[in-house]
Amino acid sequence: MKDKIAIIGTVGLPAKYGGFETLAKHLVHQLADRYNITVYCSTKKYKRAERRKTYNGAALKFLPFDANGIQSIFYDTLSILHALFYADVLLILGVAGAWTLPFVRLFTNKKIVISIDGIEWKRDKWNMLAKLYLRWAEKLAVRYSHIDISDNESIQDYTALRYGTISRVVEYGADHTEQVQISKEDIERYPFLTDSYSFKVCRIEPENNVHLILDAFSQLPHKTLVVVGNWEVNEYGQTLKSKYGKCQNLILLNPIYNQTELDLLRSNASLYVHGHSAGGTNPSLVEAMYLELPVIAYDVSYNRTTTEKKAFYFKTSEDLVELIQKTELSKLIAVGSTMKEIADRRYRWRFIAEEYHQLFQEAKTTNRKPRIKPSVSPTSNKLEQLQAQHLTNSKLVFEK
Amino acid sequence: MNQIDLLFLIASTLLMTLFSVKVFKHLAPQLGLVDKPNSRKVHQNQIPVVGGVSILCGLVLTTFLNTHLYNAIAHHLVVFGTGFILLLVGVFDDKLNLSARFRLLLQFLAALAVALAGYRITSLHGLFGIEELHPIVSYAITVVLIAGVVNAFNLIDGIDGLAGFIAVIGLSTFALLAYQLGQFNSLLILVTVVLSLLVFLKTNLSKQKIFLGDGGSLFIGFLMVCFGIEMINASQSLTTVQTNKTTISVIAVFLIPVLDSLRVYWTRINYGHSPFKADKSHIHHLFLGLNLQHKQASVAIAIMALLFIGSASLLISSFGITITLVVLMLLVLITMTLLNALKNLKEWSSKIKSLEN
Repeated sequence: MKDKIAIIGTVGLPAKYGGFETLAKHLVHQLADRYNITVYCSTKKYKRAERRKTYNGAALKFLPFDANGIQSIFYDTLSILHALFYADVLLILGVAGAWTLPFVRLFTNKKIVISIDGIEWKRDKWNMLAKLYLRWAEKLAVRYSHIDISDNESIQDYTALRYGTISRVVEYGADHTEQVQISKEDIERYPFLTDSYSFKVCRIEPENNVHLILDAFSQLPHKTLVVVGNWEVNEYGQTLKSKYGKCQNLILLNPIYNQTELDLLRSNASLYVHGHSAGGTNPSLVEAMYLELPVIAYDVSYNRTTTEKKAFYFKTSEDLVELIQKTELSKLIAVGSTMKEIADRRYRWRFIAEEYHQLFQEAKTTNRKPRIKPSVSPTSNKLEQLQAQHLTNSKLVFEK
Repeated sequence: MNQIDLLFLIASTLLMTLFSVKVFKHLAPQLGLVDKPNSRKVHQNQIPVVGGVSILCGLVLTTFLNTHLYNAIAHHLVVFGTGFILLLVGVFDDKLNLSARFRLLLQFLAALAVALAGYRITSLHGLFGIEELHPIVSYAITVVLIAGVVNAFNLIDGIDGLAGFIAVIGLSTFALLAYQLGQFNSLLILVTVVLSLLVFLKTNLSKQKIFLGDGGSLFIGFLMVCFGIEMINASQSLTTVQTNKTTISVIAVFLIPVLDSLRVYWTRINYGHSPFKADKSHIHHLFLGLNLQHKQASVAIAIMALLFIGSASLLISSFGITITLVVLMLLVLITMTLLNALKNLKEWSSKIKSLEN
């Protein structure tokens, strides 16, 4: 009999939204023949007519709460409670419902695999109360799960430092994106496609450094930049749009949910500018890498890890201006190929799903999460007597 | 005691304490009573540690000028005598280098001395359903409580104004109780000590500041706990409502220092350290961690203390003493947990920043 897996914490399937939904879609696609998968979905984002009972072999359960914001606590909690009735392994994406985990561990024998999804509590978009809750929930998620997953090595360092346990790094796939040929109609809609342009797609939030990037390109009138994002939802976006909307070389587009259309724009770009400063491995970055785009990324550990320190990096708009002006075309092309090589090696859904499969199997036989710090730390005197001072030079994996 | 006597008492207390502060501040370097900065301390210059000595000297001088106060203190001589010894031990601790155990032993002896003299908890007044205590239990509880509270008060003396504020609030509450209970000897003493503390606070919070010092905080903490017990005992002959109100008010005064020190000990033991290992985890450090200035943190904690004392008298008018105490303790613990979480949030945010770069 196949093991039963419940995937909890996504908006739902068919995937229309962010990284977790795409992950759920590909896990179902890759693993449905090995597991009985149930995916929890939000009725708030699927109209009655859109709600399906199954999707590619996975059962879908709909709950009347939003999967994001404060309602995600109820959404995840109810999903977890429901899954307890049948599932062998609960794959929980996000920490909102983690307050239930101590009880789940105490009263049931269910196996819990949880993805903590970046350091959510640190993000600027949350108020202080939400931060406190998310930070507490993250602690419970790591302490009371059988396996916790980070999507980036830098987050693994953080959990090791804070909790003394090793989180598993599983990133995202990108091979659902594809090169799209430009048609005449495309050029009519997007005239910039005929020339060379830089591209960026993201939520318009300060932590994605949109202001830095727009400022840099506004100083480079001969370089076209296309930015796709939700400009109207907050003051930050509105201010940027009114400030830079009139610049001839800056094309600010509204969100595009059609995958092919988005692929059309990014796969034909000549440069990808990635300003994200938070959230671990960003799906949009790995997708750009898979499309062989040269990458200039904001200089934080997450982006360096994702690109294996082989892309170009900027901290300020001056850095960005200088990089764009001075970097030769041949170098850009070389970086694009390197990015593609990394993405081919690491960011394929087949590999990602396989890693999840391994983790599910491991969770079934795991009861305790091993601690990485030694329980005994010999004093240096003792080591000296034993002529083993070299042991003091050892560094744990997160002590870089 | 008429109005002129009262005015004279107030004026003489203020003047005598001010005089003592000036003299001891001047003499502090010669006497070696200065606090040198180190990594754990938040100040940067040498500060005279003469608050306790000045307050005591001010009190002694005022006593000789005022017969009513003289008589009142004569009634409580054992408290002041023992408190004086604690003060001396605290003042000369640095020089004599006494061990923590010896200091604790002295505090137990001091507690035993006043317990023998009648400052003793003889009943829990229905708290957790317990009434009269067996004499041995009564002595044991009294001694442990006095030593515990004195230590807790000593630990809270970490930033400018805090111990002063808490003492002024606590002793004023006791003065109010003494007035309601008709304990005029105690009232006189409490008002005098509050006035001296106000003089000390003014200097403590000024630029040319002085510290209360270990001796001072032991002495003031000791006075507070003894008068707290005195108030509870004085209320015993009155109605149960009055006794409950007095008992819970006295407990509320000590709630922040006592629960904070227990929390700090608990955290240290949890980390595998000695409970007496100095660190930066006290309640005032939690407030400083929120980027508050010293004075702001002290005022915030003082307001917290006032709110707890106020809530105590509100709650006791509707609930029994046990429920009131449990609710109060929960309130304090929730507040401290929240503060701790906020401090950790800040610390980890900057740690993550350095991990990200």
